[in-house]
Amino acid sequence: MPKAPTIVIGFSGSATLRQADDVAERLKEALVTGDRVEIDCGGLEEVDLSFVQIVIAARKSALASGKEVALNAPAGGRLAVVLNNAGIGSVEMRTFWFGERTA
Amino acid sequence: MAGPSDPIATFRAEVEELFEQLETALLDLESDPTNKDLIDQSFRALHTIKGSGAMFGFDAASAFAHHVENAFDQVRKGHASVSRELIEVVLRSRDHIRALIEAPAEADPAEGAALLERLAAAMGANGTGAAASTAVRAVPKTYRIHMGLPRSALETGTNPLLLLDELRRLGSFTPIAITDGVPRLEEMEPLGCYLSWDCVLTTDQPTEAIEDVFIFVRDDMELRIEEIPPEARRLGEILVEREAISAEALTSALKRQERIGSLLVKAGTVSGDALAAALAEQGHMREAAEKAARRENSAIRVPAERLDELMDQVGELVIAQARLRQLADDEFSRHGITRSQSRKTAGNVRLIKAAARRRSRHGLSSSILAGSEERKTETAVVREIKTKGVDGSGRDIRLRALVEEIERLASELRDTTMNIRMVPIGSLFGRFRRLIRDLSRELGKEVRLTTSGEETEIDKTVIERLHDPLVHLIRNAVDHGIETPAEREAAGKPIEGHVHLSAIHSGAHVHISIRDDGRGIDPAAIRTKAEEMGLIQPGAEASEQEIFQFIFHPGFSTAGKITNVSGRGVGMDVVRRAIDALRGTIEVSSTLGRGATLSFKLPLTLAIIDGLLVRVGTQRYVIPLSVVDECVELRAEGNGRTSGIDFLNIRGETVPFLRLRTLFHVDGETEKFQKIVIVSAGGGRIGLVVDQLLGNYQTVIKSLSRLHADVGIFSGATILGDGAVALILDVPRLIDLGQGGDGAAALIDRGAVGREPPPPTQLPAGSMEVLTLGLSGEAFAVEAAAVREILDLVSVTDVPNAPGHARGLVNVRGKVVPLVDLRVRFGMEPTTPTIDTRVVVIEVTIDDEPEIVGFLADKVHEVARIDAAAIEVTPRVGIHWRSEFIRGVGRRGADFLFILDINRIFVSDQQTSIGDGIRGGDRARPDHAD
Repeated sequence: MPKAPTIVIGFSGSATLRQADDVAERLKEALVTGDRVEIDCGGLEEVDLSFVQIVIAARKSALASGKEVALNAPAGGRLAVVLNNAGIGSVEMRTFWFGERTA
Repeated sequence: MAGPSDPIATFRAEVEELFEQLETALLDLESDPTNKDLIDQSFRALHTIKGSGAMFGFDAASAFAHHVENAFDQVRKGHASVSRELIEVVLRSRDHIRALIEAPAEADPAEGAALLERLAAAMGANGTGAAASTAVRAVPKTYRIHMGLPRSALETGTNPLLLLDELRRLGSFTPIAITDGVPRLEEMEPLGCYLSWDCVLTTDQPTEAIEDVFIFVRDDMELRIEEIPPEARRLGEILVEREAISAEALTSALKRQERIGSLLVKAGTVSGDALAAALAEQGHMREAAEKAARRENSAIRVPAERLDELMDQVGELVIAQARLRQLADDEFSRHGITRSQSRKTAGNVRLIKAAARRRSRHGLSSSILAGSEERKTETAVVREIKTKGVDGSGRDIRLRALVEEIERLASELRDTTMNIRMVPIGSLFGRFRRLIRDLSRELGKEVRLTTSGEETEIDKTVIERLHDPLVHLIRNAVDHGIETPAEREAAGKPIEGHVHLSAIHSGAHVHISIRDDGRGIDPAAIRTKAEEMGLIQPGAEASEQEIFQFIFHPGFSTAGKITNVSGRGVGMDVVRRAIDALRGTIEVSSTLGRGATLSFKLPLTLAIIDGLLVRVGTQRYVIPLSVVDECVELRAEGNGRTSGIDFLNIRGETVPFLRLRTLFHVDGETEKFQKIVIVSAGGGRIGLVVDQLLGNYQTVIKSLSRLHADVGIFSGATILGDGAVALILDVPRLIDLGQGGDGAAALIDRGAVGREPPPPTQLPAGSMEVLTLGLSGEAFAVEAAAVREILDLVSVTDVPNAPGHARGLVNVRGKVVPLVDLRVRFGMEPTTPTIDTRVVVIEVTIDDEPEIVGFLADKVHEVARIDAAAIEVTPRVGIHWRSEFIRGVGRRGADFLFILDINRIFVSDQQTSIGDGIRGGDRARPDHAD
C-alpha cells in the first residue's frame, strides 16, 4: 500500500472558539486522508486556547494511529504569546510547538 | 417566566446562600468579635455579592454592597474593630441589599442613605480611618495552585488566559498547562475545556487575593491552593508532598531507620516521633481536604421544580405500575391461576371484584365508570385468552415475575427520588438565630438559642412549610415564655434565657421540638379561660394534655397584654392548621416556672401517604392511616337515622360520628353492615361511618385544583390502581365538623363566599382558530390555543359538595383534573353520555393562575378558523341559556357558533356549603342506589 501523501493545512485569520468546530473538522478530515498532516499557522492573526487544544488533540489522534501531526514552522506571533501565557511548558510540548530540542 | 436556566433566577438562588453565610458570620462575630476567619468570611460574602450583583445588572445592590465591603475591608486590615453597632448596621445593610435584589423598585433609597450614614459613624467611632492605612507589606509566600475548569467553561465565557493573567499580576508566577486531559480529536468537543493548570505563585498578597481571582467560577471549578512552606524541608516530605512516594512508604522507610532516629532523638538532634506525628497529621489533613473537595464536586444544584417534576413522574410510574399489576392479577384470577397468591394480591382482586360489581349495578354507567378504551383492551385480552387458552403456565409466571420486577424497581425509584428531596433541617434552624437576636433586643431580654439534630433530613416542602409555625412558636417562647432578666434573677434562674430547637428521626416521622426555660404554661389559667369561652364545662375532667390543647383553639389567649411580638390571641390555631396540613401532630408539655416544650411529630414526606381505602356509596375514598385509631362495626341499633350529630359509645367514651353517606349526599339504602373508622387529630376524635373497608393503600398525593379549593373536606386526591381518582379526606376538618366547633362554622361560611366572575375576555383582532363542538344540539366553539387534548370519556369521580357544574374529577395522564359539565353550567338538561361524548381538556386562568380543566362535550367536530369581523357581540335576548359565558356569536354556514368564554365558565359563582341537604336540581347526574 503506497504511503498517503502529506497534507498541509493552512490556518489564517481567526482560529478561536467561533471557528473551533471548523478547525476540528478540517484536521479530522486531513487525518483520515493523509498519514502526515502539516499545520501552517503563519497566517493566524487571532487565536485562543481552543485552537491549542484542538491541535493537541489532533496530535494525540495521530500518535494513536501511527500518523504524524506537525507544525511546518515554529509557532510565532499571536500563537506563541498564547502558548507562553497558557504555560505550555513541558519538554514534549515545547518541542512540538516551538521545535525546541534538548541537547 | 423564570425557567430553570434563567441566569437571574440562578443568581437570586445563589446570592441567597451568600446572604445566609453573611448573616451567620455576623451573628457569630457578635460573640467573637476578633475572629479573623469570621471577618474574612463576611468580607468575602460582601465582595461576592457586590461582584456578581454587578454582573447580573443589580447595580444599586452592587454599589451599596461596595460601601459595606469597604468598611469590612478596613476591619479585615485591622484599621477598625468590630463593634455591636457595626454588626447591627451591617445586618440591616444585608437586609437592604437583599431588598435591592429581590424587588429593586420597592427598596427605599432613604433607608439606604441612612444606613450608609450609620455605617460611616460606626466606622468613625472605632476605626482609625482609611487615611492611616499604610498597610504593612506581608512577607511573600509561595503557593501551589491547581486549577481545573468545567468542560463548559470556554462556552460559558470563561477565558482561562485571563485568569492566569490575573494571577500573574499578583507576583512571581509560573503556570504549567496539563495537557493529559485533552482527548483524541475524534472524542473531543471542539468547544470543551480540557486543559488544567498547576501553577506556582510567590506573592505578598493573602490567599483571599488568589481566591478572589476565581470568584465567578469558583463554584464549578476544581481549585486547590496550598502554601509551600518556605523552610528547607526533608527530601522525604517533599517527595510525599509531590506524591512521588506514599506517606506509608516513607513511614516504613523511617521505621527501618528507627534506630538511627532514636539515636538522633536521644542526642536531641531530631525527633522521629515529631516527624511521624507531623506526617500522620499531614496525611489526615490531606485526606480531610480531599474528602471535602470530593463532596463539593459531587454536589450539583438542581432547580426545585425539576425535582417536583421528577416526583410527579415517579408518582405516575408507581400508579401505572399498580395498574399493570392489577391488570395482570385480574387476568390470572379470571382463569383461576391465583390460588397461591399473596394476601396483597388477594386484596387487589377483592378491589377489582368490588369495582366489577359496581359496574354491573350501574345501568348506564359502564361507559362512564370504566374508560371505554380500557374496557376495549380488557375485553380483547379476555377474548384472546378464551380463544387461545392460557398458553401454559410458563408465560404467566414470566409475566408475573416481570410485574414483580417492575414493582420493585418502581418502589426503589420512588424511594431514591424521595431521598433527593430530603434536605437537612439545619438550613431552617439557622434562620432563627437572627430572629432570636432581634426579638431579645426588642424585648430587652437575654436569650440564647441552641439547636441539635440540624443534620436531620426532611422533605424540602415540609421544611418550607415549617418556617412560619416555628417563627410563631419562637416568638411566643421569647415573648411569653422567657421572663425579663429581673424576673429571672428573682426566681433564681440564670439571667440569660434559653431556647432550644431540636430535630430527631423516628421511623417514618421526624420529631421537632422547641423548648424554653421560661415561666411555663399554667394549666389552671388555660382551664379558666377555656371555661370562660365555654370550651369545657366547669368541673369536667380533663387531662393536662387535653387542657394544653385549648391553646390551639381559635381566639384563645391568656396573655394580658398585647405586645408588638405576640399575644393577640391569634396564631396558635394557625400553627395547628399548618401542622395539620403537614399531617402532623402537636404535643405540649410544661412545668410551671421551669419552661415549656412544644413538639411536632411530622411525616418525613408529603408526597406519599399511607391510607385506608374505604367505600362510601359507589365511590372510594382514602383516609390517612396516621389519624386512624381503630375500626368498629356500626351496630344495627345505632344504625337508625337520628337528627343532629350521632354519638357512639366506645369502651365508655362517647365519640361523635359522622355518616359519610349523608355528608356526601349518597342516596339509596344504606349497607347492612356499615363500619365506623375512628379517627383522631389535634386533640379531637370522631367516627366516620363508611360502607366498606377496602384495605391499606400507599399512594401518591395529588393536589386538588382551585376549582375545588372551597370544598374543604378533602385534602387532595390520588389515582387508584384501576386509574380512577379517589379523594383523600381532610380529617382535621371533618373532626371540626363532627364536633360542631367553630371550625365547622368557619368551614360552612367559607363555602358561602361567592366569587366575583372575571371580566369578559376580549375577542382578538383578525381571525382566530377554534375547536367546534356540539352541546344539546347547538354548535359551540373554544379557542383552539387553549385546548390541550381531547379524550374519550373516562372514569369520573364525583366530588361531594362541589359546585354543581364541577362535580367530577378525571385522571388525565396521571394528573387529577376537574371535569365540568357544561350542560349543567348552562342550565340545560343533563344527558346520558353517548359514544360521541368527549372530555375536552383545556387551560384556563383562575385567580390569575393557569389551571388545567376538562369539560364534557356531546360531540367534538373540528378545528376551524373564523374571522373576528364575522363575530358579533352576544345578544342578551334570544338565547335561552346563560349568555355571560359567551364571548361572541360567529357564523358557520347557516348555523350560529357560540364562542365560549372559558375563563368565566370555570369560576364558581354558586354558593356552596356543607350539610345543606341534598341538592337535586344541580347534580351532574343522578346518584345510583346500591
